[in-house]
Amino acid sequence: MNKTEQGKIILCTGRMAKEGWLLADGLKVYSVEELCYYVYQNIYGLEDGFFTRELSDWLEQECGMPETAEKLNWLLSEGYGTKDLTIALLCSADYYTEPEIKELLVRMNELEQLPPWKKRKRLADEYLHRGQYARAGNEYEKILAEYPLTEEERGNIMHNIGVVRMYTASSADAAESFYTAYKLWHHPESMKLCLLACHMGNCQEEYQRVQAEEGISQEFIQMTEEEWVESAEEADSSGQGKLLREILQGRRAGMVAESYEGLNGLLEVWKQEYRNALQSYGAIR
Amino acid sequence: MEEKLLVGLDLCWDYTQLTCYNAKTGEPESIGIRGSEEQYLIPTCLAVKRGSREWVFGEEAKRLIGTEDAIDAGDLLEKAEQGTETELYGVSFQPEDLLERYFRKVLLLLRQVYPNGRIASLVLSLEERDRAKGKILKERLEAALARLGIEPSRVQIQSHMASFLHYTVSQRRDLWQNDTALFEFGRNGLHYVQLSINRKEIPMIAGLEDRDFSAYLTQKQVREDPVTAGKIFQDVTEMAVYRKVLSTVYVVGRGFEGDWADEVLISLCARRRVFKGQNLYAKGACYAALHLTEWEEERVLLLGEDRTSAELSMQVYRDGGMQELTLIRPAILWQEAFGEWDFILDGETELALQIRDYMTKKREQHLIDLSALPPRPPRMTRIRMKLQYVDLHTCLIQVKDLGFGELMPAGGEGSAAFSPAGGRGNTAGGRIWEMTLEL
Repeated sequence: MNKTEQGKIILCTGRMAKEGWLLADGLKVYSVEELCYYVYQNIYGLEDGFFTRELSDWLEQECGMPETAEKLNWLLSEGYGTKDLTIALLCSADYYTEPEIKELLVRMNELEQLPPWKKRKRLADEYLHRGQYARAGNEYEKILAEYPLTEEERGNIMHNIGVVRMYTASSADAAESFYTAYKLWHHPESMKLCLLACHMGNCQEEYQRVQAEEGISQEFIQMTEEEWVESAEEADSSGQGKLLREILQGRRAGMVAESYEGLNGLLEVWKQEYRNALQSYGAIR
Repeated sequence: MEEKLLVGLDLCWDYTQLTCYNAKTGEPESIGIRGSEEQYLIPTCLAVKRGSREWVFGEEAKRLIGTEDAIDAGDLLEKAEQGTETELYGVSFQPEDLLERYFRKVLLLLRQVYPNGRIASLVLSLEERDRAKGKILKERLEAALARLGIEPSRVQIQSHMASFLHYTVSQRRDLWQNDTALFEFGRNGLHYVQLSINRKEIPMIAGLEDRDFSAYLTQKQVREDPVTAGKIFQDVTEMAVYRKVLSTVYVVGRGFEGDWADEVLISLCARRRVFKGQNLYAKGACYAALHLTEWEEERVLLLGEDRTSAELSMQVYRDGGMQELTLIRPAILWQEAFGEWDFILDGETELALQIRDYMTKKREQHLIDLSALPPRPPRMTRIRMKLQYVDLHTCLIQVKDLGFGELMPAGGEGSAAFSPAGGRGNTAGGRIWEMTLEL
């Protein structure tokens, strides 16, 4: 969400519902503002049947918004699509500003022009950026299985599967996906991530084999090596890197129990970060 | 074509009066039960006929109560204040149930005159008898009307004095050039009320002075010895209006029925106009309904004992722009001064409350620091602000963190200890800020 330049207090519309509205992913919303947020953030995954008379009833009865319910019902009865219903909903509250709603409209217009596989890829990309890796991977696999794509398009999707695997599987698996992607669309970013994943997974044999098979230039290898060193130094000098060094030093000095305790703590932090990660690195839209 | 009706209802413990604004004449007109003798005074009575179980109201109910033909539903307003249940023909009725039935009967009278009418605004005028219970009564009256499809946004409940004010300012200017006086002789005794309006201010400021003369004269005395009562009333009027510059005197209440006070009232007519009648409050309520729809903002504020003099407001984003939101209006009885609002914080960590005191003319800003809220992205925090006067000069403000639904729950974030300035914290669910504002 864009941070506005100046803070403001938004007056809520309607009231908070006692009974929440259950969304497809098991989440419940309790106000029109939460519903607006969900719709705005999930524009690529919004299905045609999202807006229903039941949702209008909920807005009327639980949120005290009869006029909005009436408007949505009218749009539904006249056969208007998800785009118009979304805009009507967003305009019924002050959660999003007019420029934000207009920007969304542009995105929705663009979306309408996209071929079906690309719409699904946008959704999968959205999952990836939100850190919903399993969902993203699942969606990418389905796209590959269901649509006759060009090699370049398949390469793009396979690249993003590589990113998913970096988070959900081993570095070796990720490297393999990046390599497959590279062979399909010959994008240098895929090769770079393939080599970096090999480094990360300590897969020296694979690292050498890929370079040899594809005839990668020394200049490119040098550039990737530099990036690896830079990233490793950055990680090492970070607060967590320093902490890890101290723990390992303590262990060598015989503070075994304390070092295990420290490692467990650090692992817990990393696990949490992993769970909460909202951005993924390297995905290509 | 549907007509928008602006309705006034004077609801007293003994009688009810209904008025509706007539756009053609530009005046409220009384609406009553056709064919009855006292057609505009509707007894505030409700009863159920034995056998047929038909609900009856007004004159018919009054006539049947005490006979074998009907069961009395009792004092409707008293029961609403007390929350007393009523058992009729073996069925239990809440006060709202009875009020709903009574209002349905009364408001159906509008249909005789305006068959295609829809109530756009309804103002209920009540006696200021028991203010402590006023809030409960108001809630029950609103609930009963809501059951009839007249939701609270179309309803205003106000005192007789507020109706007097609206009636006065709706008259020709020369009738309220100077102060206006009111003699009221009803169930609550004999009262003299003087209304002073400062027209130089915007909005105009109105003040009330109330003098109780009930100890001097009672309705019983009037009935037993009207001649002596007239003399006593002469003394009362001299005491009340001595050295007062009045443009108009209104005389209301069933205590003035008959001609026992007419000579005194004629003598009052020197240098001022005198009007006697029973429908001032009902018409004042109707004018208030008109003002609700016509006035974009208050043009006259009634201040005085027990009425708030400050307006509490805040700049908020609504309808696509920044606007001033009035949180609590001025000139309302402090017991009824209450407001509840939900807001979304978009990069804000403090609330800037604007306080404008119409009595002292002071404007102040009061900041409520919410920096102890758990860090969340912009627009992912909903707060609920409650404002409640605890006495005439003190407003209690409560702000509760509601999080943002399941997307950002309010509890369990475990941020640093919280100590709001001048308040206390409560961490059940979302945090609560409480502070008192001295006005």
